[in-house]
Order: sequence, then structure tokens, then C-alpha cells
Amino acid sequence: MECVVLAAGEGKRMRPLTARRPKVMLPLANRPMLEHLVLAARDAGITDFVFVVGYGEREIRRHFGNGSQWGLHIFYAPQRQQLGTADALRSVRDFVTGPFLTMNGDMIIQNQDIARLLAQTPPCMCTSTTDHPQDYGVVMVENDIVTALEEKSPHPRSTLINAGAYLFTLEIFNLVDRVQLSSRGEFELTDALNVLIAGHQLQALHLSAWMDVGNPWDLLDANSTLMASLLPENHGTVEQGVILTGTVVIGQNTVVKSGTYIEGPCIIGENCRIGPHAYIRGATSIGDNCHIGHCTELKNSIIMAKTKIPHFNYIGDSIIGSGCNFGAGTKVANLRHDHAPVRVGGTDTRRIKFGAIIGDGVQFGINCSINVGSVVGSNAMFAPNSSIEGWYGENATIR
Amino acid sequence: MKRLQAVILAAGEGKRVRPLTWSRPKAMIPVANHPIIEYVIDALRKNGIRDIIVVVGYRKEQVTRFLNQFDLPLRVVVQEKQLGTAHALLQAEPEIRGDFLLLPGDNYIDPHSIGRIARVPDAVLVKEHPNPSNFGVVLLDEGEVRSIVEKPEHAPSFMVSTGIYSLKKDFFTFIGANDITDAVAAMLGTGRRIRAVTADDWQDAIYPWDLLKMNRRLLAGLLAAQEGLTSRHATVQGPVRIGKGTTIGPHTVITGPVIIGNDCTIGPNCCILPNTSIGSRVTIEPLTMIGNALVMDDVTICSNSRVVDSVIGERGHFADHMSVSTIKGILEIEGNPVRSEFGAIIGDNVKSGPFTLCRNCIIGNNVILEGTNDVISRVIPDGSVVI
Repeated sequence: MECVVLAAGEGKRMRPLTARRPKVMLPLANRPMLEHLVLAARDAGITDFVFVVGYGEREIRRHFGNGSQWGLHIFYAPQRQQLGTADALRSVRDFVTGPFLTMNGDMIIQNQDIARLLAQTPPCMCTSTTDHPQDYGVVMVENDIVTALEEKSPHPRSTLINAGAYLFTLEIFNLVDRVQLSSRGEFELTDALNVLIAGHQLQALHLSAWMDVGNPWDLLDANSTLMASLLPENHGTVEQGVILTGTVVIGQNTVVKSGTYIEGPCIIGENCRIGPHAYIRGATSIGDNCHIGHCTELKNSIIMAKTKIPHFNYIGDSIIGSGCNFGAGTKVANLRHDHAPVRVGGTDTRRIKFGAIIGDGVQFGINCSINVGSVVGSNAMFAPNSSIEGWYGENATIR
Repeated sequence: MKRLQAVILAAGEGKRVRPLTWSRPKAMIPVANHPIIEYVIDALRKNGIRDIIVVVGYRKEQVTRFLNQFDLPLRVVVQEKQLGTAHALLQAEPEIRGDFLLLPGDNYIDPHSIGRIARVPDAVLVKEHPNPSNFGVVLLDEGEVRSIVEKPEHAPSFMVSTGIYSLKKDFFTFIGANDITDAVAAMLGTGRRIRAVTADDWQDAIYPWDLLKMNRRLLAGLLAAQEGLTSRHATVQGPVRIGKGTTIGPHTVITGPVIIGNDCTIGPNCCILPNTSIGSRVTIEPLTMIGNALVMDDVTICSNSRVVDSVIGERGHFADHMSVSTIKGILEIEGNPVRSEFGAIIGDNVKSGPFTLCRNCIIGNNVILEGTNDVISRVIPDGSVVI
């Protein structure tokens, strides 16, 4: 059976992190989000994948190739314009031969659940529950049959939502062909599903665990969830006088220098230099070729590859792109004085503690102060002592 | 599902907003750095209304060129002569299939109000206004319109029509004269009912100084975003949006809400006070202060100037020590005396020499002020030279 993965969108809400990569290539526990999904499907017995790709196709192809590295067959169905999920499915028609699995590329799902889905009679849709159903398609279910589906209703009728994983038969192609442009200007899969629902044909399967990543701050939750199942590994060098507690994974050629204290879960990539005297708290993931130096404290953050946080820095509850350089003493605040939820660009993160979202290749001078909820675009540059607050575009400069 | 269509009227010049409508129709005047019609289109799009017909006329090429950049199936129909709003709507008749919204392209309307009127066929969006005589005044009875009079001398109520209607295709059968208000009155005459829906937020600009109020309203929801190059010695506080390629010099103080376009040069030592919109490629020389103002593209304001409560058209060049202050006055607009209180309304391509003073004055397009002039409560016609 083939598994179709919808991975063509940029993920505009993830900007500026998607400047150089599509959303599904954002790292969680040091692997692209999409790789976690593919591995879960593989563990459920799937070997043939069709990726619908568009924005950032090159990055996805470069990482996954033909899939032989994982013992898989991966095919690519390019969707040149992102015209919606129904249009994305149209592009895979020539790749599938019988009943097939379809999944959104930006979610975390367990292999046991995928196995259960494979055992269902198609067509079948997976459901999950959430405490903010207004952001999703809300589902009504009776006797395991979907009776209604409402997109992003401001007054949702239940907390049960469409999880974005389906088992379809080839009949779905006839339905997506008939989908008209919606009021949002897209060809939406929901319209095809509604035809199935009207005929009482769409089964529902409730997932035991599910997580989707809509906004940048959701990456932190997904990251810590995925790191909870890690086992300690050390492929690098840990000097004497280093204390490791909890689960710590250290990649090849990485050196953890004396005096460093790491509280897991923590994953550190290859060729990193950590310490001396760094303090890394869970759940933090650090990509390849990073430098976390003397007297630097990191907490619950995602640090992408080639970023340098070398002296006297503090970063908490933040997402830092690749190739950034933090000047000595530059710090990120992650808590408001009034302990109110942090807002990012006018959106409530529903998090009391949240730091900043920093794009790729950003350079901070020494002693910069980055306030809670700041967003910094790629290749921005900041003079020493800058006070950084709010939203900075690509190449913004304080000099 | 039947899709609601929308017709935007953007054919009129907006004579009372002259001199600013010399080179653009009123709907294309940039407020908070976007043409007014763009806010109307955005409000429709936020409500999922994408099937939009725009009636163009005055300077139609300019409007069409602007509309082409949208990723929407916008259709343009031309009203060759600006004979009235109903005549404009008639031009769109062949494109209309069923229920539709009718909106003026030169007013701001909040998306929520559109969402509410879109659900009611045969309805008008109304709002109280302190000067109802400039609008179609409506008399209401239990949420329905009893009568509507266009621009009455003595208004029977303060409730006015925003010009935004939700209509059925058969509305065209009521169009006799050239104004929408007449057609609505004819419709009421046959016993058909029209619901009145109250707008949350609506802004029209009758006179050019009303644009400042609209500017203030549209800047209220501004999200801070900085691009370009800002000196570390500049102070930027409140919601301030600075575009790509713009340089903010040292010791400049910007207090939001302020929007600044791309490729501007501001400062050093300038002061930009709240409710100011500055277009692209604008130069503000050192020691100049600007507040509550709308400055369009390619303007240069030289050093030691003070510009407040003003609208400044494109490509103006104002030499050093320009001083604008706000006083009350009476100006003649389209033959009628109108009370106002503002600094200066300046058309496109105006040049002024050093030490020009402006108080409550309207300066036409291509005017040259040679310098050390003191212009008080006057309307200077297009192309004048003031010595």
C-alpha cells in the first residue's frame, strides 16, 4: 500500500523559520518533522511513499532521496502551485494503485495508530481531540461514522477534530475532481470528504496520540514529546567533570568539555563543541556543528545547525535558526513581568514562558537583549547592546 | 452553495478631495500606505467573498493596473462618464448572477460589519454621523429603513447610509435615476423592505482633511515590524512599521503608531510623532518634526521643519524651515464654505522655498511657493506661483 504525504506548503505561519526550508523539514529532536512521520509509517509496515512537494522541494529531495537509506521507495509528485489539499491529491493519481494512506506532513502520529488505520475499511478519517477546536476542522461522529465536518468554525460544536490522516480508495480521485474553488480560493479536500459524509460512507478512527505543528511555538511541545522516547547515547567525547542527568544523546565528533552540566532530555548533533561550563536544560535539541560555550545556559529550545552561542548567553523557550551567531552576553527573555501569556506578532501563544523566534544567519552583537515574543528575520544584524523587541524583517539592521 | 458577489464603485474622482484627486481617483489615495480600495478588498476577502467586480472610470488605467496585482478573480467594468452611483452599478449588471454586495471603493469598512450584512439580503449598512447632510440620511423603524434622502439640507436624523448594500439581482429593476439612493427610495415605494444593519466601524473622507482621521483609524491596528537599517541611537517606541531599505538616522525618535515605506532616509535627529504615515522614497532631513500627517511617495522635507495635521501629495519638495500649524478656518470647497481645522493639504509636485508658513490652507498641484510666504486659510489653485 502507498502512503501519500502532503508536504507542498510553505507553512506561512512558521515564517521566518521557513525562509530556507519547507515546514515539514523543520527539525524536531534533530530530525526533520517529516522523517518522524515516515519512520512511524515504516514501522507500521509501509514501504512505498509518495510525497506531494512544492515549496522547498529541493530540501526534501536532498534529505530523503529515493528513500533507500531507510529501506523505502519514495516518489515525488510536484504540485507547482499550492492550490489546496484537493488539488494536491489530484497530483498523485498516477502514483497509487489501490487503497492508499494519506497524511498531512506536519503532524506527529504513532506507528500503532497507523497500523490500526491500515486495518480499517476505507474510506476512513482519523480524529483527535484538542482544547482549541476553532483552529481545525471539527468532526461529529456517530457509531464510528462521520456525520459532519465543519472547517474552522468560530463556535465549534465539539472538541473532536479532523487529524489529517486518511485511508482512501481510488474513488477519492473522482471526488476531488469535482471540488470547486472554495471561498478561501483553494480546492479543499474537505469538500470531497463532505460528499462521503453525506453518503454515510466515511469511517472515523480515534487516534491514541496526535500532535500537529501549526505555529512556531508548537515546535517546542512537539520537540519535547519526541524527546521523551529517546534513549541515552554517546557517540562523542565527554570530558571528565561533566555531569549528565536524564536522557542525553551526543552525536559523533561532538566534544562536551569539563564543567558542563546537562539535564536531559537533550539531544546534541554531530561535530558540536559544548562547554566548558555550559548548562543545558531539557528539553533542548542542538543541531550539527553548533558551538555552545562557556557560561551559556539553554533551556527548552531548538537550536538548528551551525549556530554559535559561545559566551555568557541565556536562551529559553526559543527556536533559533541555523547559522546564527550570538555575541557574548546576548540573552533572550522568556517571561513577562505580569506573567501573562506571551504574544507573538499579535497572536497569543497561550504560553506563559516563550522566548523568541530567530531566523537563519542572524548576527547579534555583544550584550543584546531580546525580549519575549520577538521575531527576527533571516540575516538580520544587530549592533552591540541593542534592545530587540517586536518583529524584524529579513536583513533588518540595527547599526 | 451560491456565492455572494461584490461590486465596488471606484469610478468617481472625489471632487471635494481635490487637489489630491488630480492624479488619482479617491479610492486610490494611499492611507496608512495602502490605497483605500485595498482595505475594501481585504475586508471582502476576509469574509470569503472573492468574486469582485470593480467599476472604474476616472483614471481607470491606474485603478486597473493596481487591481491586476491581486491574486483574486477581480473583474473590471468601465463607466465611461461619471453620471452617478446607480449608473455606475448598471455597468456591472451583465456580470451579476444573483445576490451581491454593493460598496463604495473610497470608504473604510471593518470586515466584521461586512460579515454581518452579507447574511441579510436587501439590507443597508448604516452608521450615526455628526454631519449627516453629506450623506444619504435614513429614517429607521424597528430595524428597517422607512425612508432615505440624499444629502438633505436639514437632516431628519443622524443615521446615514454607508453606501454599503446587500442586494438581490432584481434591484436593477428599480434603477431609474442616476443615484443608488433614488433606486432604494423606489424600492421602498413598492413596499419592499430593507433591513438596516449598524456598522461597527466605517470611515468616509468627504474633505481632504478627513483623510487624517481615516489614517488614524487605519494605523490603530498596526503591528510593529522593522526592516531596513536603524541606528542603535534611534528611539523607536510603540507600533512602528519601517520598510525595506529605509534608513533611520541616529537620535531620531519615532513614536508609534507610525508607518514608513521603503527606501526612505529619515534623520539624524528627526522626530516622527504618532498617527503619521510616510510613503516610499521619502527624505526627512535632520531636525524636522512630523506628526499626525500623511506624506505620500517621493517627498522631501528639508531640515528644521515642522509638519503637523497635514496631507502631502507625491514628489513635493519643501525647503528648510517649513512651518505648518493648525488653526480653524473656513474654506471654499466646490463653491460652498466649509469649516475646518487642520495644518495644510498639499497636492502633488509642490515646491516651496525656505521659511514657508502654512496654516489651514489647501495648496494645489504643481504650485511653487517661492519662500518666506505665509499662507493662511486659503485655497491656492493648481499650477500657481506664489511670490
